[in-house]
Amino acid sequence: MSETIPLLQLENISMTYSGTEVLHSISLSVRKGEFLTLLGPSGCGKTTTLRIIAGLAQQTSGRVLLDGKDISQLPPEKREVNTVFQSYALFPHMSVEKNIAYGLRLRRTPAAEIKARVAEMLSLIRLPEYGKRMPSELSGGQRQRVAIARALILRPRVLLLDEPLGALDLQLRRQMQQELKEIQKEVGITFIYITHDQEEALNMSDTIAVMNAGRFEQIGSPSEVYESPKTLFTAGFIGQSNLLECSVKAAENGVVSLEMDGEALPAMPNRFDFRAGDRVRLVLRSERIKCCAEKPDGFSIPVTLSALRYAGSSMRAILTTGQGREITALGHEPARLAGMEGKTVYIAFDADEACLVPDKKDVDEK
Amino acid sequence: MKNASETESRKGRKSDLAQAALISPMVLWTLIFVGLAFLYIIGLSFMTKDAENFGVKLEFTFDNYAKLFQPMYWQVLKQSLLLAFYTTVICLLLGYPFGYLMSKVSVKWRGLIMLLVIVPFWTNALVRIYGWRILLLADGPINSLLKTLGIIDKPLKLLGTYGAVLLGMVYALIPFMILPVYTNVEKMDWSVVEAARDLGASPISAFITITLPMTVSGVLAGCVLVFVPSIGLFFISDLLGGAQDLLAGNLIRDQLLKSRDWPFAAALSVMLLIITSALLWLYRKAGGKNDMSIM
Repeated sequence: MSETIPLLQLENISMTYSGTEVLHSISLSVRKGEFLTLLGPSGCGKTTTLRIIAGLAQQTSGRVLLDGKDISQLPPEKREVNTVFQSYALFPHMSVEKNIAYGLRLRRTPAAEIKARVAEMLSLIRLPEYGKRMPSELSGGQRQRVAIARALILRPRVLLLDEPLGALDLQLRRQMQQELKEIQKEVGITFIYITHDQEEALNMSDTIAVMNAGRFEQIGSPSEVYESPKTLFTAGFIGQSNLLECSVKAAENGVVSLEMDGEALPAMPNRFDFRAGDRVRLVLRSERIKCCAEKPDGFSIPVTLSALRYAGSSMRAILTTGQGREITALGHEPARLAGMEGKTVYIAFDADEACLVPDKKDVDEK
Repeated sequence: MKNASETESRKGRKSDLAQAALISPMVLWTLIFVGLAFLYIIGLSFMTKDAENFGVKLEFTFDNYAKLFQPMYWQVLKQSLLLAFYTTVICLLLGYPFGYLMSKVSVKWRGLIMLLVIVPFWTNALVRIYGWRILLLADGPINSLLKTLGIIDKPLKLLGTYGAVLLGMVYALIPFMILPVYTNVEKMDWSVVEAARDLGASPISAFITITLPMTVSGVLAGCVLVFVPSIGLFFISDLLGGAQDLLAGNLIRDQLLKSRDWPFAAALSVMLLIITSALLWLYRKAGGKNDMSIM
């Protein structure tokens, strides 16, 4: 919409490793100050993408643009982009201070300025007293913060973070997510963040780029990728969903009528130009399924309650349709079905809380 | 280091007796063949030379140590140390890149190169140095080759030079530099070097500020492993050097076998022992330090 050039652009980047193409002509643009997350399963090409931006790997084709300038041929030390490595990669033979000062020393920054900026960084990462320690004397979370400070002190245009919280335990992860987000707001630097943890991605990002098998499946805000997934992969990877195979009976005036196992379903908006006869998947979020012990008014699907499990803050119901499809419902709703195991119950959903995605076959053809 | 000692102490608590039993043959062996031999040499170095009685008179004296500082002997000692130093420097300059590249090539090549480094050890060192003698002869293969190629008219004097001694020393000792450097470089975490590049280091400054300090323990180990034996080696200068290339090792042998001055030979040996121990002490001190950043 705006006329300004995006801060960072990837243009048709492809990457081939010993004969295998791991990135298939991907493109991406990142705004200044944006927190963008590359989300995907391991092996999907996230880290390769990051390494190409950093200059640690060379793409087979395509361009990397920073401020509209092609930086594809620049070595990593010439790019105004810094990386926080998954393994932290702190220099084991240098103190915390020296680690953080490393980049500034290479740039021959005056000693007084280095000292001031290192102190500023140490307080930003809340480790003001740790300057003299060696990396081996720090905990995982502390090392992580030092790695972030070491990269941030150079005030890069873009900070790349490769699963920075991957090695931390759940509690520390949550805390660090919060801190990272605060640090990002404080310094106003663009973050490109890699994770395979969808919760982390949804929590922290302005934009999520869902990646699978060397391609972007969908790029959008957290609520976009969650509420309106565009592909079967995105629908399945983010959140707990039931992906039910349906066929399009008719498509008219932007509305499709659907059929599942011969039963008619409520009409849904036609987001993908579906035509009659198309195979589609109905994405039904587990926590948005209504469970009823008695047949409710309006649309409902009769199912058998196979199991009802207690899961702490919520309940989980495993439901089976007459055709043997399994549907999982999650949340408070399943509690209504207490004591109904083995009996027929009813599920329903609001058409605007569900959505349709093309079935896999259609995606492959594109 | 910390982990190793922790596991050791844990095991120790479990079976102190079994461990003592396992170690005792080695301790005994060391006590008799190293400890007693040392005591004998140290004792001998304070005795007086005698033409009879196996060459030794039981008369306490410091004369043997005083003799060490006579210019002639002092010169030999200095020359030995200097040669050992040159040998170490050349081994380092050649061995470091070799060990470094060795850890960078594919596993298949690595095995082959490792074999080539180790194979010479299967032949006696003396025989191998004799081989060099033949190569360096005035009418040996090297001179004939150079003549055939028209590079020289008259054969070069290769044998009997300081250069030949240095060549032999480097040849004999370079594996002791290559191997520790290789093991150190091989276990490097290269993401650290990538981090340095990412933070703005050129390949050269990343090497100087990161790779080198992180592999310094291999360099130190290599230097000690080359320097210490090169002080005492005598057969290389015997076979490849001239009369002027008298080293501490040769001197000790000559005192022992030709002059039959056993106490002085013992004093010389003790002197070498002190020098090498001092080096090892320095090495331990340097290796024990945590921060060896050269920035």
